[in-house]
Amino acid sequence: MVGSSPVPFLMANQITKAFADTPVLRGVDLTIAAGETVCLLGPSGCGKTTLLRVVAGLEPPDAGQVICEGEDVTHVPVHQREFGLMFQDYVLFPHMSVFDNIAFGLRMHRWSPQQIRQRVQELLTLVNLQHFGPRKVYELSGGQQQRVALVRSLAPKPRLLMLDEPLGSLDRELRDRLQDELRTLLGGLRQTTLYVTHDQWEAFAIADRIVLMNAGRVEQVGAADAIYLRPASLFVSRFLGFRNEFPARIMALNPAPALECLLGVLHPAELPPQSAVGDTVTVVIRPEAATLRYEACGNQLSLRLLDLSFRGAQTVWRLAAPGSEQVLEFYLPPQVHRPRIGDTVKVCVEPHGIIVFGG
Amino acid sequence: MNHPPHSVPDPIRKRLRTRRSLPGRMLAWGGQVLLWGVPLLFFGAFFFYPLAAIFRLSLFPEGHLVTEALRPLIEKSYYARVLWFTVWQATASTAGALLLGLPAAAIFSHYRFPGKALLRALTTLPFVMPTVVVATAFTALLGPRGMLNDILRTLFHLDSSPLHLQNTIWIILLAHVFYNTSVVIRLVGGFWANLDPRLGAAAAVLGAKPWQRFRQITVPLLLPAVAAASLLVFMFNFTSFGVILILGGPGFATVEVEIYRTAVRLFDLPVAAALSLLQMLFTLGLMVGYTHLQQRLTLPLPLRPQSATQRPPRTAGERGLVFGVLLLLGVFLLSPLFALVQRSLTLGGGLSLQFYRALFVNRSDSVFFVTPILAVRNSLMFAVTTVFMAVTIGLSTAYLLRQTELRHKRFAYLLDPVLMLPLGTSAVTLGFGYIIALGKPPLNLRASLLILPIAHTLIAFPFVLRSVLPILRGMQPQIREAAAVLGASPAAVWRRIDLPILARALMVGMVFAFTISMGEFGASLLVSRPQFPTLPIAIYRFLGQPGLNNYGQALAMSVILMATTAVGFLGIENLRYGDMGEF
Amino acid sequence: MFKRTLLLSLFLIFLLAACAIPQPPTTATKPSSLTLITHDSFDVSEDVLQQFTAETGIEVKILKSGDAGEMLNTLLLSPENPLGDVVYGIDNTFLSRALEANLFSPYEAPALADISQSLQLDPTHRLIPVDFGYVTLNYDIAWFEKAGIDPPDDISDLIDPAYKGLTVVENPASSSPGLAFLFVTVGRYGSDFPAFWESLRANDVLVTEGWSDAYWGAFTVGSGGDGDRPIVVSYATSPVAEVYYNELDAAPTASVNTKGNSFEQVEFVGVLANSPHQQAARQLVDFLLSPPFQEDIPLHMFVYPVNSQANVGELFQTWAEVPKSPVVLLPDLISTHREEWIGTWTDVMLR
Repeated sequence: MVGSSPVPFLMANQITKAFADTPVLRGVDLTIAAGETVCLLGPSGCGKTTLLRVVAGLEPPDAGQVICEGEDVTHVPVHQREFGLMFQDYVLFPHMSVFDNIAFGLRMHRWSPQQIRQRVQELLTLVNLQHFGPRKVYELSGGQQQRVALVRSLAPKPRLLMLDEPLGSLDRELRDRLQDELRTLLGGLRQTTLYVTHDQWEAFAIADRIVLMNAGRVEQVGAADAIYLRPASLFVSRFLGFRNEFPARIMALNPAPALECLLGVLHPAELPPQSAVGDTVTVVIRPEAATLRYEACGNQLSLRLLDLSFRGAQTVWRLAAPGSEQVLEFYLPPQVHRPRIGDTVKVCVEPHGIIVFGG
Repeated sequence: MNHPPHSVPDPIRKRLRTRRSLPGRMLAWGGQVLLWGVPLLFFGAFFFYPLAAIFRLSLFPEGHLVTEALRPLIEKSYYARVLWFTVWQATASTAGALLLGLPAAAIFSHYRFPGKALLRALTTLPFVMPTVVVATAFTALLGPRGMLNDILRTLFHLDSSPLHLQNTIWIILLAHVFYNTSVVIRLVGGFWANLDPRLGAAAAVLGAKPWQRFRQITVPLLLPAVAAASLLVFMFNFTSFGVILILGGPGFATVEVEIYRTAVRLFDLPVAAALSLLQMLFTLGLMVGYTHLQQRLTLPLPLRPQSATQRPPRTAGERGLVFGVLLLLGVFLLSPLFALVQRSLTLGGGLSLQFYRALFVNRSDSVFFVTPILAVRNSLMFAVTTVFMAVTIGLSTAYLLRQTELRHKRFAYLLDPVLMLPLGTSAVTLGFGYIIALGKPPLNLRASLLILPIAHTLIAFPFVLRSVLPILRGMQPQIREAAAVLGASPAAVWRRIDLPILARALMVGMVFAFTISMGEFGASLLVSRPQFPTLPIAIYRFLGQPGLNNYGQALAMSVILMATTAVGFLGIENLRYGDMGEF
Repeated sequence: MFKRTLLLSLFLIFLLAACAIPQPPTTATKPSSLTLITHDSFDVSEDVLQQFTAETGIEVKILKSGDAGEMLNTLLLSPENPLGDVVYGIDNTFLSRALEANLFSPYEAPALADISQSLQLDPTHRLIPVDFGYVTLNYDIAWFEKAGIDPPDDISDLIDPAYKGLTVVENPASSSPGLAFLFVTVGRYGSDFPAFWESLRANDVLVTEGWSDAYWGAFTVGSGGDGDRPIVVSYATSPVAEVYYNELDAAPTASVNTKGNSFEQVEFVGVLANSPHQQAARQLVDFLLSPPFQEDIPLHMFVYPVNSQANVGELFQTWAEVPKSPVVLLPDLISTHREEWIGTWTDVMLR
């Protein structure tokens, strides 16, 4: 499904945008296939919301174009694009009832009262708010408001649904639950969706494809697991929360790549292209790439246990290289016998868990 | 449920999917032109241009400043005394209005009691009563043989009236308190009622005693509102005209009164113009402070429902407090109005409708006779036109200011007080400006009927602006975007989002504009068209002729004016949306 | 609701705009309307005014512009572009100033033959007398009967301690009867007039800004019992007005019409020199001087008609007494000293 469509549903080409001489988007490309859910992911200030607003038509780009279903919509005013947008804080119309909020877009598109009633009821049922139509919006809880905002943006059957941090202001538990609901819902509707979030787990849970942005540029595009397993840059790696990062030097390229670092010698699965022996590189070890093993293996490390933090399905081990300040964090399954703090433990790191970044 | 949206051809879709056409862009551009053009044109033509014309004629008749004519300003200590009197009487009057208004604001914002809406409407009545009527009411109440002296004489078996307030500073201060207390009640009370009571609760949990909570939480939060109300009231008192002239008598002069006397009686235009400039400068300073404070008072939307902050008085102490404050309000604000009604219904010691009946008889077949119904109709016609214009100007300036605040904050700090300048501009100066500047084509409006609503609009539109602006400030910008994304065109966004949200604040401003126009008697300072007499002009006409019957008819007409105004205000009370207006 | 209000307002504003559109200036001999500028006290019967329109086909529009002083000032502000065609109500106290400004064109009206020479203060006939009246003291008859004090019959009574706190006068700086009364004192006492006012002040005189404040606010009769001053500066004809408006059989007030206690106010009518309708304006002046209008004057403005052919009517004949030898000041003298006298008065009374 990903990228399978020869002509993507939506293309944004080389979008640039600056606010008061501060560039926010510096030539961004984006494609969305029909029925696909694309997540714009990145830290705050990376330009993801601005990109969404450009696609929506709320901000005109300084340069570049937005093409939807083969047609240049760059200068089509927002109200004629037939997109849907759900804002971070929902922005329900305070002077209207739940019903009128949902019906607003339908009225704008001149649906008949009969159709409107039917459609609103159908949507309220979809999000389990059957009897909330006449309520005032400020009488709703946060989760209910969120659901009303969602179906309001879905009501006129938008060609593209855009969600801007839709779960941002909810508590953790509600967020996890709604995340799943949202994925089921969007999948069920085969709704083409552009989803903006700064939360990688949310993006992983919802997206078919992730566009990871940094400082107005696209850093990496790909499926969630592809990005997780092979972050394209140190920025991506750090954004994903990989903290086991330290410098190393390339010792050998063939037959097996080898690195030398303060932990000793490591054998990654691969090296950056055009690497040469003697190059200084940065090594990242993914936290779940280690196993506790005392028998010898390709990448065995002897480390001192600093502390343990039990988290249920996994335990976070904080370890330090002997004679070094370098701290490593690994997620390991809970152990029946655990070593004491200060003991030296041996872990094996899977070669694919070692990611090497040039420079 | 499973329709991929783009696979269902929607008939509307094709029609809509057009490029943003040239007309579309021109529409947006046209909107900006309208937004800036309407207020600019209005202010330019009806405020700055006439003012500039009269200042030029007065101060630079031969191309250079008439320094010689201005020397008395510096040489005569009289003018310094006028300025000093203006300042101190305004300060004292403001203190009085706060003294009465703050407890009332506390009561109105914290307690529910029967008749509250009616009482609040009644306490706002004084604000829009014409000075002529108020003077009559005060005389009927506090005059040497007024109701109060009657009571005191009977009570203490006195031969002569103990109270001699006429033409003293006391009656000026009382009248100013009478006029402006409602401003304090509305402005402070409205803000107070929406203060989150949980703040006090939080402080209480932290161990604060009631008076500590009041001093540490309520006072600091309320201070900007109190300061803003004080500044506004101070400015109204500073530019006081009718009260000083009619109730204070010839012995007192504020700068505004002195401008009138200098310009109209002595025809000394240079000194009058210089005094007007001085007063405008002073006003500008006050308004800079006022608008600055107002920006800090923007209320969040949605507000806390007042049901959460108000309750009936429970303990005996609370009931006593409410009763006491209401009694004071009754004495200061309602008794003059009551005296007016009572006098209009009294003839030869008994109740009579004679004065009201007489209003319908044109005894001398005068060409200027007007039935009350016709006067009400004329007043309504001018008032509705004023409302329309004040809404147009008030709304466009509100949007203009909001836009400026977002884009050029510094400029907005300047623009906002400048927009309030008409409130502090001498009516005589502007009236003279109209006569010399608006008498030639293309602006030949001097003798036109439109000049009256235009003059009223200059005073009334700030009320629309001030009630709408905080709502505009509190509106999330995304709310309009949300509607646009859902398919609402800019016009539809305005009609379905802005307008309903602003509607109630707009109504508040509209009724203020309405009542200001109903009560404003500026006609003698401009040129009046006696064929279209309004209620205040009719009142004035009766007061200009001897005979008790005329006096009684003036009182009866005043009561009709008061009733029409009261109905307007009761209208607001039913429309208001949680005291969101600033006034 | 809002929409309807908006529509209504729109409709009204168009209506107003339609009213406001000025008639195209017809430079032809006969305009369709003339504008009469006058002061706030002007009044006339509807059918009398209609008579002029019926005779000439010209409609008369009336613009009121404050009192006589305010009216003159608005005229002085825009002499080359006047608000109207004919001015009614400039009085002898403002005569010189109006003539100096050259606002009016001369007109030898035929009716001048029927107007007393003593009233024709402008020999150039730019301003023609149209009515006259007297400012004098009025008192409350019943009050003096009840108090057992003789009512005043001369202004010198007012400084008698027996009359302490009984008098209310108007500020001459803002009120035309007030100014006229100042002239009475100037005429009586000459340069010593400030001494009279000092005594009056010591005798607790009340000063109000205008006539209505004095008559309605302070005068015992006018205020219906609210005021406590039984003596007021008003007009010689005010008792007639009391009888007329209150439909009484006898006047509750009387005016002091003894020798040297009143000031004669003559009001004038004139054609504005810059009016494009000189011929029609003269027709209007003729009408204002003709018996139909002149006979309408007494019971509308409570002053006397100038035309000796005009009948003042029964009520005036019965109740109005013409004061004996009023104070006379020459318009030039008034013009030269007005501000000075007002200034002196203000210093004595208010500062």
